Amino acid sequence: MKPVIIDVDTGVDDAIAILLALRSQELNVLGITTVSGNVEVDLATKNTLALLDLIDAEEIPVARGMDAPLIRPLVTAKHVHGSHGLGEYKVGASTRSIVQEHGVDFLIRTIKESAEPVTLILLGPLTNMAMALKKDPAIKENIDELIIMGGADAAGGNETPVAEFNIYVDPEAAQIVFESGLPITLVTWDATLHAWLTKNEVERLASSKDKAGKVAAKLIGFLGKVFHREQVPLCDPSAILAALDRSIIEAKQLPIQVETEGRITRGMTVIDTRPNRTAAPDDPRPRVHVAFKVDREKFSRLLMQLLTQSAE
Amino acid sequence: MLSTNQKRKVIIDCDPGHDDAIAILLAAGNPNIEIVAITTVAGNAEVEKTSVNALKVCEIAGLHDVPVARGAGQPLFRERLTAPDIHGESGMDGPQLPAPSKQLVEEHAVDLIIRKVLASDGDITLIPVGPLTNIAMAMIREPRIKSKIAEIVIMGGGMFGNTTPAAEFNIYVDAEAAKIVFESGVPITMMGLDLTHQALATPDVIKTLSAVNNKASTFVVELLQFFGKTYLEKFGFPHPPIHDACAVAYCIDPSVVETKRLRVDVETKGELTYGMTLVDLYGVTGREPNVNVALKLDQEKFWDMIKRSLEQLS
Repeated sequence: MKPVIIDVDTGVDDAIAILLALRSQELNVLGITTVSGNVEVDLATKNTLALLDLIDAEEIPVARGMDAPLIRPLVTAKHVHGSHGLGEYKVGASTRSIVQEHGVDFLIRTIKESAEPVTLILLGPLTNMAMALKKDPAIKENIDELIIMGGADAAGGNETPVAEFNIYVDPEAAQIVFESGLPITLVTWDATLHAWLTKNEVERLASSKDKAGKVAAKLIGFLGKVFHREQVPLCDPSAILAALDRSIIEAKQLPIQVETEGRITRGMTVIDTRPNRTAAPDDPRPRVHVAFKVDREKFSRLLMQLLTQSAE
Repeated sequence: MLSTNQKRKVIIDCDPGHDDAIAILLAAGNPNIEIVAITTVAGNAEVEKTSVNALKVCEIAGLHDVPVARGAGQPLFRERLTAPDIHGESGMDGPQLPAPSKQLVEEHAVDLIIRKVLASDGDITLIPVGPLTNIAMAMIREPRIKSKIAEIVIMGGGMFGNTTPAAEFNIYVDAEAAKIVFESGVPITMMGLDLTHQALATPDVIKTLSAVNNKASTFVVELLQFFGKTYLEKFGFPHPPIHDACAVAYCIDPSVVETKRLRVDVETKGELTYGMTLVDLYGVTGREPNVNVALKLDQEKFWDMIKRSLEQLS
């Protein structure tokens, strides 16, 4: 089993991603850290606890992380995720409690205490990760890799024409993370446009014996209404499934930079996709495994497999 | 205003550093100051070195019970920059001191600052005399401290620069951190180069301090001999300015400086002006004044304070 920590801004697709992680046999979820992004961190935290309640999940440490991006004022995405961030689910009080520790400290401590190098699956703005790296750079020694949902190709943004939401919200944090030297797989917005389920597949999910399948179906249905289309891109789930089966994505190691100064291009991931170029030996840009494509068949097969198992 | 028998609680965030060391001694020897903690940052030298130096200074000052916590080793976004040409390889070249037996606490400086401020009655003053990385990180990490910090008394910035023509070292090393602090809404008093270049350790000053004739004063004189030499070589100053001590001096007795309340902003994007503190002297920006800018130093009072503190540290 691979030890992982999942960082979320729950968030409708974060919720589906968490369900997938919990249902997988191969991921040992050491904890979930929350961050402000799709919604404010307090809502993201509440939603995460509520989601765990919905499927009667086992006890998993949930740690509340950063309130706001490193230096920018927070931008949220409630027009996509609903005013509370969990679609149509009304979120009440949970009997679960969060850990006392701040999410950033939880990240640092859990990474350092792990017997094996930890994989971090980052599904929201990169504020927590950046703070952790700044506070204790030594954590890099016990990190296997980062799998990040974020970024986009040149004309492929969602929050703006050129920027994907997670990177847009905290471009400085993204820059710190990309420049950390850690192995990174970036599942871009472009890739997730291929990660959708057919109407039939969603119906099968809705009639799954597993509550997790039913919950996922309802959340996907909500996104379908928001996007006014059937082919709803499932962003955060793509990152989780890529962690389970790398062949789901097509990734290439490419130089990357984050635009932090631009007025119009804020948050753009400038990925060097120019063909037939060899990077100069002193090229300082970090290299990251960038996925622009998801194999839809493999994606849906694995997702369905995980969320339509018989009830345990 | 504090009553005369109420000590002013301070946390000194520093990168010793020659003038940082003198600032700590000034605070340690003065009955009006209670040093709650000392936190270290990368600046004049790497944080590992500034931390060792801080421990050494604490031993000379008899600060056995004051926690010293290590902080950020790098600026928020920039590449690390140090100043060995002024402060030497160790960050505090000059005096020969044994390895300290005092230890750092386990806690990270940022956590200590947050914890102490949140637990306080809003009566803690932060005295950052190095790059502002720790302070900014604490504010980002725990925005609630902003309403509980009594005052931040900074050594940094000015209306001209030393590291670049526009920028003073502390701000230049981490302008993004400085911007966060200057825009935080916390009451700020700034000892910029305009002020600190008036705190020159002339031969007369060195003679007076030398006459105190104890361990602390000997240490200070050795510091000033080294610091004076590098300042002459690098900047052509005949006498070195003891920047950081000005911030502590203000905390002991605010009347040691004359200040003017002005708008100050930090440039973080400029190619040539990165790290500049823009002091709106004539109020042309119309922006809300946010800083008490110290402009004039009562030199006699200042050096007298230092002499008295050293005398206390026998």
